[in-house]
Amino acid sequence: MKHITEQLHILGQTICLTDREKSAMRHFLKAVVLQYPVAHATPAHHGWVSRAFVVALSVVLIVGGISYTAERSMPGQALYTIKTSINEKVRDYVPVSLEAEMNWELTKQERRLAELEVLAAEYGF
Amino acid sequence: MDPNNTEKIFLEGYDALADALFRHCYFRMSDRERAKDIVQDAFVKTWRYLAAGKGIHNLKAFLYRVVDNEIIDYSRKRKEQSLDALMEEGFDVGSLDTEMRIERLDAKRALAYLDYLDERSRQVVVMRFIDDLGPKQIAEVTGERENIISVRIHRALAKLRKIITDHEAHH
Repeated sequence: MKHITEQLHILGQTICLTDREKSAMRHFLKAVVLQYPVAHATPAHHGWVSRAFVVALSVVLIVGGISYTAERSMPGQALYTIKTSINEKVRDYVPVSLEAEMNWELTKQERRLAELEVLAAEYGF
Repeated sequence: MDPNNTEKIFLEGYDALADALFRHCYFRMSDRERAKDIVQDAFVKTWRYLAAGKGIHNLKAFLYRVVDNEIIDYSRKRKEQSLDALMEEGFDVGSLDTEMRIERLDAKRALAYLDYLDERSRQVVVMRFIDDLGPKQIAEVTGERENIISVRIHRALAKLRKIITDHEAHH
């Protein structure tokens, strides 16, 4: 008896699928491929980005809404502090020139006067 | 990955590996029809894995692993066959050239002897000497270290030689 490993190698060369078997199996696998198409891959970070975007948008809308509403508030109302301590403080940093800064200071004084006029009309001063 | 490309890689993998996987299954189980079924199931499972959007780094190693798991399941259920029964039953060698026909009897005996090996020894002998996989490639399939595989191949061959010597001494 020849060396066993040599015999196994020789025997290995003799065993294979017939052309017909191989073709039938390929045909079957092509049908499986059609039946189960590749799922659209979703990048792993996609869900995280979506959630972060929704959270950021919500924060912008809530803060923007409060700020916008605060602009119409009058002294004594809850949102008036936001109007003067946040909205106007933020706008203090916006002017880029001395002229623009002076205009904003005048606007702020006009806003105070307008508030007083409304209160005076409301309470009959 | 582009779905068309996934399909192309898969079918090219089938063309390249179907015979080798079939041969592997056949020598692990000595059952041609069962070997065909296992190869087909392995390709179907692999496609469904790919179709689910999961990546496969080494298709060959992946397929061998799927086939190997199927064979181990099958072997657990299989009834033990005696060496004589297997020798009587013979096997389908397909088309052989003249030189190979001369070797046929010895080759038949070699196949029968494989059935006397335990499953892990048979696994490495078939992978090493039928499939022509190196210890490193076998280690990739089995998930074990290369040096463990080398030792197992060495021990499996020693067992096989002893089985042959003992059997031939009794006949």
